[in-house]
Amino acid sequence: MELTLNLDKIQSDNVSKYAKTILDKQNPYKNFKIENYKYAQLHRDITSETLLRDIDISELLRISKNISSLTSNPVDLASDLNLWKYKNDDSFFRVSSLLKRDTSSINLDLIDDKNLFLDISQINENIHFFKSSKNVINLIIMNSKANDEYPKSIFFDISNNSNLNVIHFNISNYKSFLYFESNLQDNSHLNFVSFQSDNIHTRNEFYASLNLECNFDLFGLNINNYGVNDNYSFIQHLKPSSSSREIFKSIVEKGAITNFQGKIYVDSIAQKTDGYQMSRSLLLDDISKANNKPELEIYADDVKCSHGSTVSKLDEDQIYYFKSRGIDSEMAKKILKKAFIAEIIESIKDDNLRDYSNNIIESLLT
Amino acid sequence: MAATEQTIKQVNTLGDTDYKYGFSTELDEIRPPKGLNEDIIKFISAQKDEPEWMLDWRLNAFKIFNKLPKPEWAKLNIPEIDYQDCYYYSIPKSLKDKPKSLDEIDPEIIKTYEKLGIPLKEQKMLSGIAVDAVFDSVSVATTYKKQLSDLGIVFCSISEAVKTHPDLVKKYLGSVIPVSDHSFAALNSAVFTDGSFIYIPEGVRCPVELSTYFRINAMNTGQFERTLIIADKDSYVSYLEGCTAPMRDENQLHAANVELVALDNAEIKYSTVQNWYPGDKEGKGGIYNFVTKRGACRGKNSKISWTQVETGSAITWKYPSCILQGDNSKGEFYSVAITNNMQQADTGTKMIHIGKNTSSKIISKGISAGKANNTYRGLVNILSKAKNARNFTQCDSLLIGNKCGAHTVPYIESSNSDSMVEHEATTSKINEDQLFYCQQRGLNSEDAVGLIVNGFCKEVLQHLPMEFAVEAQKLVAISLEGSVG
Amino acid sequence: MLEIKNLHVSIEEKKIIKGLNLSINKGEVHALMGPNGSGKSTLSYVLSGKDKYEIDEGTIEYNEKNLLELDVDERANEGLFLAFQYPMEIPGVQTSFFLKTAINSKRKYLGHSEMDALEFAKLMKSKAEELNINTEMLKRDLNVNYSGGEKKKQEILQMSMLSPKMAILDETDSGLDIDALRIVSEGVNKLRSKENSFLVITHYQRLLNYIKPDFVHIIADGRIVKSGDYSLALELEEKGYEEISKSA
Repeated sequence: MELTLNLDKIQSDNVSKYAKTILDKQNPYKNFKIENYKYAQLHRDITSETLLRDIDISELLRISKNISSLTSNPVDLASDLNLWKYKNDDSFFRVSSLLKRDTSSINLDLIDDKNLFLDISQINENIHFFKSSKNVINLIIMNSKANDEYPKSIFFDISNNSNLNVIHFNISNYKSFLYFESNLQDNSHLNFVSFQSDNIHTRNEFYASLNLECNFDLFGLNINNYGVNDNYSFIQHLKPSSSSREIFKSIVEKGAITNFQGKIYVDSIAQKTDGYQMSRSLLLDDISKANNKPELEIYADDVKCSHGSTVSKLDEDQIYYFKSRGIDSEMAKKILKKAFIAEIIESIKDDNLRDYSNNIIESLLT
Repeated sequence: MAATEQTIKQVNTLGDTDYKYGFSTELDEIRPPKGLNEDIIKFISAQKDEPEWMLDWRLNAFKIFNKLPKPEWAKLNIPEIDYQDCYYYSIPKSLKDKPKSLDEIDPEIIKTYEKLGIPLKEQKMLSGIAVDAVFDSVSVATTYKKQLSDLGIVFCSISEAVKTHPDLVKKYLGSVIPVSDHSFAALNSAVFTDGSFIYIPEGVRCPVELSTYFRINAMNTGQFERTLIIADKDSYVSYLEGCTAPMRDENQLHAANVELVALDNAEIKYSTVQNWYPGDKEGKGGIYNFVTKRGACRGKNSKISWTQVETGSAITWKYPSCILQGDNSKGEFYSVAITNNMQQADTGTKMIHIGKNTSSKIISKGISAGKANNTYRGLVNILSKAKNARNFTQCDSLLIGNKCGAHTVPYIESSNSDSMVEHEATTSKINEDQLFYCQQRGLNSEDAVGLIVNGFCKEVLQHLPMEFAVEAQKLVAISLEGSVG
Repeated sequence: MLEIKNLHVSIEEKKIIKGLNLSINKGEVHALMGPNGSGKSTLSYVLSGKDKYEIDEGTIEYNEKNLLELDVDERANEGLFLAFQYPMEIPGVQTSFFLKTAINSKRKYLGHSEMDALEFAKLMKSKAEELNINTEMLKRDLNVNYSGGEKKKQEILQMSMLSPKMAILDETDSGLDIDALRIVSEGVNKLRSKENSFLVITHYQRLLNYIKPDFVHIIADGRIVKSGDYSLALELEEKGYEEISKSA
C-alpha cells in the first residue's frame, strides 16, 4: 500500500525533521520488519470476496445521544508532534494521522447525557476528547464499513479524579487503522472495551499513560476475521500505585490471521504498580493463525506484574458433556464460543449497553 | 565430587570478593597478526593440519559472513565490534607439537587448570567426569578417552574429529545451524578454532557426564568454539559446558556454535554453567558472549534439554533452541540468568514444532540487580502440520532495587488448531518478610538474599547434573554480591 | 430396552471390557458393582458414546436400535442419560440456559415445538424445589464453584427435567453426605416407572438401601462374574469382592 503525505502542514523545522524520520525509517506500509508492526502486514493489500454484514444500530441510537455533529472545534496536536511522551517507539499511526488529518476536540464536560454515540467511520478527522467532570459517561465509538488505509487517531485526556467508559465497535470494515491514546492524570479511571468482528484488514493501537493511582482496563474481543486483524497495546506506568488490566480474547478460524501484541512498561519510580495482561486465542482450524506477543518491561522492583497467553482449541470434554445432554456438536461449539468471550461482554456495567452488546455479538457469532 | 569440591575450595581460598578467576598464565603464544581475512583463515587451517575440504568449507563461510548484515534486534547496547582488531587464533607455544600424554604438557597449563579445579590427571578423577579442556584455542587433553572408546563413544576435539571421523563431521556440521543462518554463525564457521565432538553410537547410554572447560587467556583473542554432539538411535548423553575468563580491560568476543542432533529415541542433556568475566562495576572489560545453540530432534521420540545458569559476561546474547522435527519429540529449556552491576543479557529460546505430538517446556528465571538489564526473548512457533503440539512456558523475573530492568518478550505463533500453548510470566521482588525472617535467624542480608534467590531458582537448578548443581548454587550467591543495601 | 452382547472394549490398545453381557428390560433397576479398575465407568462412557474407546467386538441394542451407530447427542435424545461421576464445569454458560438448551434440543429431535420461557421456568423451579436446590444457584455458571454434592444434585435435576428412558448413574453416591444421599435417591425413585429403566453403578452397598435394585451384577476384570437379586449386594457387603469373584 502506498501512503503519501505532505509535510506542508508543519511550520517548525524540528517537527518537520522528526516527522520525516518517522515516515522514512519507520514506515510499516513499506517496511514489513518494523518490530511493533510485525504481524500487521500493512505492506500488503489484504482483501476478501465476502459481503460484509450490516449491524443494526437503531437500538443504540435510541439509548444514546449522537454527538457526530459536535466535531467542529479544531485543535492543533501536530505542532508538538515531535514531543512523543511514551517510552516506546513512536506510533506511525499517530504521526501519519496527525499529518494527514485535521483534529477536532470535544469537551465531554459540556454534555449532559450519559450515553454518547460517535460514528468515526463517517468522520475524516482525528478526534480529541477531554473530560474533567466526575459524572459517568459511556462513550460509544462505532466504526463500520470503513475502507480507509490512512490511520486515524482518537485521543482521550482524562483529568485528575475523572473517569470515562469507552465502548468501541469495530465491525464489518474493509480497511481500518485506528490509534487510541489515553492520557490519565492522577486518580483517574478509564475503562475501554473493544468489540471487533467481521473485519478484513484492521489494526487497532491502544496506548495509555498512567500517572499516580490510576486505573486502566482494556478488554477486547475479536471474532469472524476474514483477513489480518491486529491489536497492539502499550501501557506505561509512570507513577506509583496505578493498576492496569488487559484481557483480549480472539476466536480464529476460516483462514484468518489474528494477532495481539501488548507491552506493559513500568518506570523505576512506579512502585506498587499492579499490571495484569491476558491474551487468549481459540484457534479452530489449521488454515488460520494466531500470533501473540505479550511483553513486559519493568524497572521498579516493588510491583506485581504478570501476563499470560494461551492458544488452544475448544475443550473436547466440554463438547462431549453437551452432547451427552442431547445438544448437538454445532450448537455446543456455538455455546462454548460464546462462553469464551462472555467475560468481555460482562465487563460493561451499564445494563442497556451490555444487553445491546450481548445481542450484537450473539447475532454475529457463527 | 572432587571437581566441584576442589572448585569451591579454590574459590574460597582465593579469598577476595572480586572475580575469583581473574588471573592469567604467562605463556609464550603463537598467533597470526590481527585481523580477519582469507590469509588468517588459511593460517588457522594449516596450524590444525586440516584436510582440503575443511578449508574450503571455512572459506565459503567467510564469503557468506561478508555478505550478511549484523543482527540488530536484541535490546542491547552493542558497541561496534571491530572485527579487524582481534586475534583469531592463539595457542600456547608448548602445545604446538601435540603432546602425546599429560606428562608432556607445559606444567604452567596444568597449573592453570588445577587452579580452576579441573582435574586433568586421571588419578584425580573420582567423580566420573570425563573432561576435555580447551585452553585458548586448543584442546589440552581428553581424559577417559580409552574407556569411552571401548563403548564406541567418540569424545574428542573437533580438530581431531575432522581427521579421524570426517564422514560424521561432513554429514552433520552445519546441518543444524546453517552457515548462512546469521552473521555470527558464519563468522564462527569461518574461524572456529576448536571445541568438542561427541558421537554416541546406537543403543549406548554414556556412563559418565561429559564435560569441557574453556578459558580465554590471551588478550584480545576471540574464542570461537564449535561443538557438535550426535546421539544415534536409542542413545543418551549428558554434557556439561563450563567457562571462565580472566579480567582484561578490553572486551573479548566469544561467538560459539553448538549443534546437537538426536536421532530416534535418543536423548541429549546439555548443561551450561557460565561464569565469564562480567566487566567491573563500571561495566569496563568483560566478555561479549554471542552464542548460537541449536538442537535438532530429528528422530521419533527424541529429546533435547538445555539447562543453563548464566551469571557472567558483559553482554549475553544466546537463544538455545530446539527444532522438534521427529514425531513425539520433546524440547526443554531451563534457565537462570543473573545480571548485576552493568551487565546486559538478552537470552531465551526458540521452540519450533514441526512433527506430530511434540511438546516443549520453558522455565526461565531472570534476576536483575544493580543497573543491569535482563531480557527473556522466546519464540514458540507451531507450524500448521504440528498436530497436537503442546507448549508450556513460565518466565519469572526477580528485581533487586529500582535501577535495574527486567523484560519479557515472548513470541507465540500458532498455525495448528489441535495444539495448546500456555505462557505465564510474573515479575516480583524479594519478599521483605522473608528477608527479615532469615535475618532474625542470624543470616546476614547477603546470605539471606542468596538463600531466597536459590529458592526462586530451585526449579531450574534441579535439572543440572548433580555434580554441578552445588557449584551453580554458590555461583548464584556470589553473583549477587553487593546487590542488596 | 438395553441388550449388551459379548462386548469387548479397549482404550489405547489396552483391553478394559472383555466379553460383557447385560440385559435390562423396561421398568427394571439394575445395580452394577465392582472394584476399582473393573470397567464400570468405562461401560458407562461406552454406552453414552464417548470416543477414545475402541469397540473391538460385540453389539449393543437399545430400543431395537443399534446404539453403536448413534452419535452422543442422538443417544441422549433417544432417551439415554448418563449422570457423571465427575460432572464438568463450564464457565461462561449459565446453568438455567444449559438446561433450557438441552430440553429444546430433545424436543426438536422429536419434532415437538420448543418450550416457552415461562413453562420452562415453572418446570425448573418445581424440579429444583423437589431436590432442595436453591434456585439462585441456577443463575450461576454450570457447576462452577459447586461442591461435590451440589454437582451430583445438579445431575439429578437434569435427569428429572429430561425424563430419560434409560438412565445410567455413575457412582452418584460418591462425595454425598447422608442428607444429600437421601434427597438424591428420592429424586431417582420418583422417576421410576414401568416405562423406564436404571443402571446404578456403585462401589458401596449403601446407595442400594435407598434405591433398591431389582437385579445386582458384579463386574470384575471387564466381565460380569455374578448376577443375582438384591440379596447379592448384601452378600457382597459381607464377603467382599475378591471372595465373591473367586466363587463365580
